[in-house]
Amino acid sequence: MLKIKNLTKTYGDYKAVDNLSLHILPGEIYGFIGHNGAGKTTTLKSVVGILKFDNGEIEIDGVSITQDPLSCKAKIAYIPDNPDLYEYMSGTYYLNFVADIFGISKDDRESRIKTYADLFELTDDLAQPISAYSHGMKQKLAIISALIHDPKLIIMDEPFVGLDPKASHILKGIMREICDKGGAIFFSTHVLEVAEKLCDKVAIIKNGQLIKCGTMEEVKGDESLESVFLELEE
Amino acid sequence: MVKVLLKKQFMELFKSYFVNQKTGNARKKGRIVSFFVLFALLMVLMVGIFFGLASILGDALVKTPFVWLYYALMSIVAILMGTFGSVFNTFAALYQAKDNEFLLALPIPPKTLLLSRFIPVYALSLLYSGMVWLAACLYAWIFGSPSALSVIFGILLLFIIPVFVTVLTCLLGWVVALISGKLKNKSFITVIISLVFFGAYYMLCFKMTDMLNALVAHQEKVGETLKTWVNFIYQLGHAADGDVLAFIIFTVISFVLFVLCYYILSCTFSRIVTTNQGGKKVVYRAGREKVHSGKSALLRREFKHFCSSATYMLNTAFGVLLMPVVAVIAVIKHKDIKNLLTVLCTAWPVVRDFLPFAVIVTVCSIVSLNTISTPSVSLEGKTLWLIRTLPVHPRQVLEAKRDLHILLNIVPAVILGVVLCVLFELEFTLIILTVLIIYLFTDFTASFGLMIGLLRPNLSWTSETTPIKQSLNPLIVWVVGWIIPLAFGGIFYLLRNQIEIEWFLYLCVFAMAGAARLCNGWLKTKGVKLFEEL
Repeated sequence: MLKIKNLTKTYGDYKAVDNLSLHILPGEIYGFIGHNGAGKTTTLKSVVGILKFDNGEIEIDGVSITQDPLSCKAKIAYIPDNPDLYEYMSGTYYLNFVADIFGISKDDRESRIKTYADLFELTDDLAQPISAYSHGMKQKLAIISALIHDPKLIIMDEPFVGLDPKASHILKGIMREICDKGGAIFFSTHVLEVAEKLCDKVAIIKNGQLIKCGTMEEVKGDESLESVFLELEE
Repeated sequence: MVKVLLKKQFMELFKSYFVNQKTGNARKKGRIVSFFVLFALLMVLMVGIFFGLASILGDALVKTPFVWLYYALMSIVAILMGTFGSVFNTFAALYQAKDNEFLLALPIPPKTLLLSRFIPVYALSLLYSGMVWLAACLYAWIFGSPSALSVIFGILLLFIIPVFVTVLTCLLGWVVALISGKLKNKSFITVIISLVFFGAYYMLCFKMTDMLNALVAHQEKVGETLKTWVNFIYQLGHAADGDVLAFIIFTVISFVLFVLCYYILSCTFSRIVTTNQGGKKVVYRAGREKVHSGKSALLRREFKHFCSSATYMLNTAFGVLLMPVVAVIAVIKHKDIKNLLTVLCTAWPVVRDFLPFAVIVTVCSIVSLNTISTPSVSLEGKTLWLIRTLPVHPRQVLEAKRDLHILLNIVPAVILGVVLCVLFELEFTLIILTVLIIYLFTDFTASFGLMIGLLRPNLSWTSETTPIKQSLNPLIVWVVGWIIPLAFGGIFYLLRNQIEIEWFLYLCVFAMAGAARLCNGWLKTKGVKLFEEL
C-alpha cells in the first residue's frame, strides 16, 4: 500500500530524514516512533505530498506521489498533529467541502457523516462554527473528514492527542476495522503502550535514520516496547 | 516585558520586508530599499494631497492672528483621518489576534499584553493622522511666520495627536468587541456599521471644501464655538501656534485620556478575548447536504472565507460597494454632468477625445481599491496543509482565488463603466472598447494581486490584518492599478495628433489583454510551483 524507498529530506544542511525505507502492506497498522525531532512528521508530510523531498521515492498503491500526486491524494487521508481547520466554516460545511473535493455522492456522505459524527458524539455540534470547537472536537472533526471518502491509506500524526478516552477507544476500533477491510494505517505516536497493543508492525527512527522495524515481536522480543525504545535511543 | 512583546509584533509586521518567508534568507539590500522608497513615495504623494487641502484653509488664516484656528481645524481633519484609517483594524488587532490566548497563558499580565497591542494601533494612527498634520504644519511654516516654539510644538504634536486618535480608535474597537459578542452574523453587522461610518466620512470629504470655505468665512464665530464646546481642540490650535500653557494642557489631557482608556479596556480584555462569543447554538439537521463540483467547492470556500471576516471584506472590497453608489450618484447628477461636459467640450473640444479615459480612470481606480485576491494566499496561514493534502491541483486553488475577485468586481465595474459611458454620450464603438478595457483590467488586477500575494507570502501571521492591510502587497497592487489607466491617458495625450481615439483604445485593449494573459500564464506555471513550495 505504501512504499517508501530511500527517502531523504534536508532543511539546508540539516538532514531531517536520511535514506529511510519502509513498506506498509494492506491490512497493516504501522506505528512510527522516535524522539522529538527524529523526522517522523517530516516523513509523514512527505508521504502525503505536503513536503517535497530531495531523494528517494514514495509510492501509494503502486503510484508515485511525485509523478501523480492527485491520484495518490485521492486514496489517502491525513490527520495532522495539530488540527488547524477552516475556522470560518461550520463542522457540517467543512465535511461537505471535503466530500465535494473527493466527489462523494450525497447518500454516501450523509451516511458516513451520520455514522462517524454519532460515533464521536459530534452530531449536535456539527452546525457550530469550527472556531467554537475545542481542540478535541477539532481532532474528532479532522478524523471524520479523513474517513469521509473511505481512504485506502490513512496517515496520522499523533492521532490520540486531545482525544478523550472514549474517543481514543473508538478511533482504535475504527483503525482496526479499516485494516481488516484491506486498508492500511501509518501513524506516529509517543504513547508506546498504544503502539504496542495496536500496531501490527512498528518502525523506530532516530536522527532521521531508521534503526529498527518489523513486526512487534521482531522489534521487542520478550521485552516491552518502552525498554527497547529506550535502549535504542541511548 | 512590553519590549519583548513589541519586538515580536513588529517582527511579525516587518519580517516579510527583510526576510524571504520561503527560504528564510535575508532579502537583498536593493529590494529592501526599493520597498521603502515605494512606501516613501506614496507618503510624499499623500502629504502633497493634504498640503493642497491645507492651502484652502491656510490661504486665509496662516498670516492672521487666527492661525490657531487653522491648526485646530486641520487637527480635526488629522484626527478624523487617523480614526477612520485605523478603527476598522483595532478590533481585529486587539481582540482577534491568534496568539492572545497563548500569551495570556504565559506569565504576562493582561495589562501588559494590551499595552503591547496598543502600540501598533498608535503606529497606524501616527501614519494616518501624521500625513495630514505634517502637511498642515509644512504649509503654515512655509507661508506663515511661525515662531520657534510653534515649529517645536508642531513637531511634538505630530506624535501627541495620535495618542488621542489611539484613544478614540481603541474605544470604538472595544465597543465593536462588546457588540459583536452578542451577534450572530457579526461580520456582516460589523461591515454595515463600518459602511455607515464610511458613508459619513465620504460625505464629509465631499463637502470638505464647502465646509472649509464656510469656516473661513465665519472664523470668529467658529473660534468662539471651539473655545466653548471643544476646548480640547481650541488648546491644540493654540499649542501648535506656540502657546506653552495650551501645549501642556493638550498633552496632559491626551495622556490622561489614554491612561483612562487603557484602564477601562484592561478591565475587560481577558474576558472578551477568552469568552467564546456567539449567538444561539445552531441545530444540525441531517439530510441537507448538497453536492458541488470540486471547482465550485473551492470557489465557495473562498467566498465563505471572504464573508466570514469583516476585516477582509472592508479592506479589500470597499470598491465593490462604492461602484454602484458612484453609478447611482452619476445618474442622479446626470444634468450637472452634462452641463459640465458641455462647458468643457465647448471651451476645449479636445476634452471629448479624453472622455473614454475619464471613464477608464474612474472605474479602474475604484477596481484597484479591491485587493481580494492579494492576501488570499497568505490567509491560508496554518490551514495550508489542508488544501495541500486534498486531491486538487494548485492551479484550481489559485483559479478559485482569482475567480472570486473577478466575480465580485466585474458586474459593478461594468455597470459603472456603461453608466458613465452613456452619460458622457460616447459612441457605441467607444463604449464597447471602454467596457472591454475595464473588463480586462479587472481580470488583470485579480491575477496581478494573486501574483504579488504568491511572491510575497506571509503564512505566519497572528492577526489577519497583517496580510490584509499591514503589508506592502496591497499597496503595490493599488499603485500599479492607478498607474495603468493614468498611463493610457498620458500616452494618448502625447500621441493624440498621430492616432485616433478609437484605434488607441484598440491598442489599450490589446495591451490589457496581453497583461492579463501574462499574469494568468505566470500563475499557471510559476505561480503553481510557488504555491507547491509554500
